[in-house]
Amino acid sequence: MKVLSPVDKVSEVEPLIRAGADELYCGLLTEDWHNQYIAGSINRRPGGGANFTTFDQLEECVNIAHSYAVPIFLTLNEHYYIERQYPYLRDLIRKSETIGVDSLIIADVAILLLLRQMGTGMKVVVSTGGTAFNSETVKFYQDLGASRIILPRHLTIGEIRHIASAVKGIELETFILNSRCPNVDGFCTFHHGLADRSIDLLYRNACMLPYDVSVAVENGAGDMAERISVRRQRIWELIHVDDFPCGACALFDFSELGIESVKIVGRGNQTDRKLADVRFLRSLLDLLSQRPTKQEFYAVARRRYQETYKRPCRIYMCYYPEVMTV
Amino acid sequence: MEHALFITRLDHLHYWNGGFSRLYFGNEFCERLLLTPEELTAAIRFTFDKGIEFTMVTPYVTETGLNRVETLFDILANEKRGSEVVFNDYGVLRLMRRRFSNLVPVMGRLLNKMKRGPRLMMVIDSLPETTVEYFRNSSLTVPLMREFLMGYGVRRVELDNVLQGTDLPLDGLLVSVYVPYAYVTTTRMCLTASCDVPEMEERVGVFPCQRECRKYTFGLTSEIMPVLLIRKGNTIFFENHNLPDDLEARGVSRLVIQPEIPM
Repeated sequence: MKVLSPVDKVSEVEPLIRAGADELYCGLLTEDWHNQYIAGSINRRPGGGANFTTFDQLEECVNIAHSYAVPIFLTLNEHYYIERQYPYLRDLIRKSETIGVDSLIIADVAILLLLRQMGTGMKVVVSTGGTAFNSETVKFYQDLGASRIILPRHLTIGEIRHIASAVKGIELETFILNSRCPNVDGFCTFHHGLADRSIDLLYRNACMLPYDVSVAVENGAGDMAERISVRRQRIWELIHVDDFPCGACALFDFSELGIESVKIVGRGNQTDRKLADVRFLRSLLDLLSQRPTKQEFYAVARRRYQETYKRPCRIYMCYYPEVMTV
Repeated sequence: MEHALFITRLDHLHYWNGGFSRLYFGNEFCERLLLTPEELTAAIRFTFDKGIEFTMVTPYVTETGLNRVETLFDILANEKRGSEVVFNDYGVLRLMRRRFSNLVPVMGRLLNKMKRGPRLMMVIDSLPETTVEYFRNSSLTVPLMREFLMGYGVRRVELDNVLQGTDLPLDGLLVSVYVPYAYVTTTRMCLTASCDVPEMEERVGVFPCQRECRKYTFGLTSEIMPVLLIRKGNTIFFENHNLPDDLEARGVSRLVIQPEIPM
């Protein structure tokens, strides 16, 4: 099983690989795009800090990674693009292939069709925005040329097992760390804002807003529901603030299921954080190679999580909370 | 202009009146609310009694849900061939193409990814024209996408009545518009599930439920949201009754009326 890490700066490439990243993914936000579409993001990260800003930077990243035989995945994973944007996108795809990008991560079926039409040699990874909740959807994308599917966050380990056992000839990737989006990514039509609690409410991710909650009840009183809902709404806000959501215990199960790669969310995170995330997962994958029992593995994963991130495991920060009952 | 009644529960059939020529029935957002075979059969019988057309609505589904959908399609294909199916999952579309060519696929509103977050209206006047164009459109503007859908037998797409408006028509495709409830976002980590059970307070994940969505409706307000957000079950909606006057000229041939929040 591989560790897929985000990278935003050329200076991060080598340290991340040395820390144990097997694959790297990144975004590219050029000035051209930013000026024309500002809030209409090209890759779900509207800010420059989460992206390379020139092709030269991207090419340098590719060259360093390839010198370690590590592939680079470029995100082109906005949920949709419109016809007017296609000349830019065609150009971006051609240039990306020329400079050696290995794979594109896409979410929009229309872009998948475009890639097929262009006959690009790059591999195509369908983002979680592709909402593949079942094997038939995986096969739908496979029919169109996808070589890997990133499964939605909102699947249980058991549901992932069902899919994995029903498909073949295509790689599956699952989420493992950070940004446990409370909404189904590919069906969320809120404008993706910025995941920073210090900024103006107008530009903050909509699921992080401090909403006031009221309740209406059919046939009865709702005092308890209102109290619980307020608490859950606060959790909702917190999940996306990125208070270290983790699914590392599930590495044990994913290893058994033949999952190809696990994804660390975190374009835009500080370099130290990215390195800590990669080291944490690498140490657990090394442990897995020693064939521990499930209980032994879970115990070590929880201890290392607490040591690394200085917090206890919390059920609402657990990507696959069913493991917390083991 | 065709008018369709969209309900998610059989006891809402009382909303039907002679002004509707089609019944939409089913849930778009939660596979736990998939129709039972008995509910589907009853709805089909109703459409025969009234002499109207039928559209079955389906959600995105896991492997378990997909198997249930297939069972429902077997019933629908036998009892009312030629009926429409709103798909919100490309796997469901692939299943239809493989096994149910006598059902008519209609692309659901979850697969049209236009931004719906009402907060957009707070900034839209200050955005560049190119950005506004983006927010008023979707990948359905791309000929490749339209041709692809038509190749799968899709002739109709379902749209929400978004606050920023939509640029229409869409060449080659028929368009339905849903009123008054537009969906904004949905989740399987349902906050409504077990929302009245204190021991489950912090359980935000894919957990069992007792269909609390049928009992509770939540309102979410924020100083920077121009309209009330309504959380019903696992989905957030807003309400928009304002329709453009020239809908038919813009290629809209069907209004899908939701008398209640479609959960």
